[in-house]
Amino acid sequence: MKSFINNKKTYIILASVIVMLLLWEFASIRINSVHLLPGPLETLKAVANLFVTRDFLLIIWNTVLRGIIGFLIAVILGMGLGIVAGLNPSFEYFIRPWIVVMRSVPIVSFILLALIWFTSNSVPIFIGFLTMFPMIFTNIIEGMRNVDNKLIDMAKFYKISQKRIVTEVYIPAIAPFVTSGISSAVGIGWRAIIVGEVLSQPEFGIGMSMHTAQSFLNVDVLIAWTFVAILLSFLFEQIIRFAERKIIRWR
Amino acid sequence: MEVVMSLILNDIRKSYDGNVLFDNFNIEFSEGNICCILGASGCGKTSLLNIIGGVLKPDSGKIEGIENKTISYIFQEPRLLPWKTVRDNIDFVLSREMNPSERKSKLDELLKLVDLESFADYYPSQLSGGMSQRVSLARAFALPSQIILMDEPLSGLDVSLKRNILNRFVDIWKNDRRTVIYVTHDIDEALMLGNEIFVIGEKPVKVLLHKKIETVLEKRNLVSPDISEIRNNILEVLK
Repeated sequence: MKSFINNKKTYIILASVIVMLLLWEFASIRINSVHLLPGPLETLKAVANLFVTRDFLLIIWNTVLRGIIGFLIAVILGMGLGIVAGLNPSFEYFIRPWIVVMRSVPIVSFILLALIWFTSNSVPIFIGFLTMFPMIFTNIIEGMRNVDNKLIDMAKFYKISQKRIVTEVYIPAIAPFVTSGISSAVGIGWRAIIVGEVLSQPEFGIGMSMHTAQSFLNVDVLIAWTFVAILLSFLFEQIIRFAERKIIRWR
Repeated sequence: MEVVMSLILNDIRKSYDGNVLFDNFNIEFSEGNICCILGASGCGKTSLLNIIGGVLKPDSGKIEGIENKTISYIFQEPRLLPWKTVRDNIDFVLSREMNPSERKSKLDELLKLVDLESFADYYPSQLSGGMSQRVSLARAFALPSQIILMDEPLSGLDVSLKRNILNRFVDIWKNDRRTVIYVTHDIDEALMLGNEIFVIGEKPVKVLLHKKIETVLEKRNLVSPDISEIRNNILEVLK
């Protein structure tokens, strides 16, 4: 029964993808211009061509590197400050307005300011950090609120040092919140980094390549880069899920 | 001659939000005894344990006989860390200064004591309630503590499991006869286990009754005349 349901699910998803491709092909035939909307096949060719482009790996590597740097800064600061804020309510009140500002200011305002302040290479990192940090921080605060106080009391009864309480009680207890925060932050972070690259135009980067393709009306190349971006995002999501399963295997 | 060091609470005062819970409260627990504290729910039994354990600071008063002593705890719920295995949960309270081989043999010995050797690598979510409480028992005995505080550790367990854990507890306790302060609201549990029984109650809290039971644990019979008499005394006070 279960395998029947699973099969059914697969067929429906497959049908949905086929309908999407058909609609795309149909629209492309109707528009009848490779420059405005190439069909799925032309796009597939463009993707294949990308792989043999001279700087393909360099472009991807630069975007991935920016993503990883922004991500690491967001995770380290988000976790560090989140844990301190969870342990110390006064600090949480202090930092709350900062988070509100980060969450409510339109991302494009930050990008425009960052274009003035930073080099074109660092703008996407900064933007990636600004989008990921509040999500990770908020999730960690939520996790800290959910830590079972009885476990903390137990550790204190047994005179366990504060350092060990943080590393062996708080951090594992908030791990599910950390991974879910990271998972949603990374999804949005990728998009922000690429937008940052489109606007800051560093020498190499997926966003920069998309911008160039758009300038020359190479719509097929533009869509091909979009595919690469989706693929990267999917790959990183899988890595995070794998890490999540490893980290919270006790569940 | 061995000097018997009692644990004495002298003139303790503690108030919560304007309510005086303890005032001029005095109690003395003899060393090496299992001292059971009986009382109705919410009468301040757990607060008393927290004061002894130093987690709750009294407004005034003195606690003697606790200086430089290590205390272990067994709580109402096992309070195991869900992300640590059985072995690591016990290891959690062991001194970090112990060397690895010493530590390993100590853990093996404790796991054997509570009959959980084959569950050493299980996580708490994979254990039954009784097994989890046995882990918490092993954790309490892992420390070379002189005092063990127990807060209704068997509530919520069925009768046969209760008996099983109690027997296991007594077996371990007999090895080194640590001072045990055992809070419960179950009179039979106190009569089965305690060398001393205190009934506390009223606001502010007072010791309403203090009884010593001389019969050794193995020979204790809940329907014997001496035990029955103590039970009747307790019931009268708790009325």
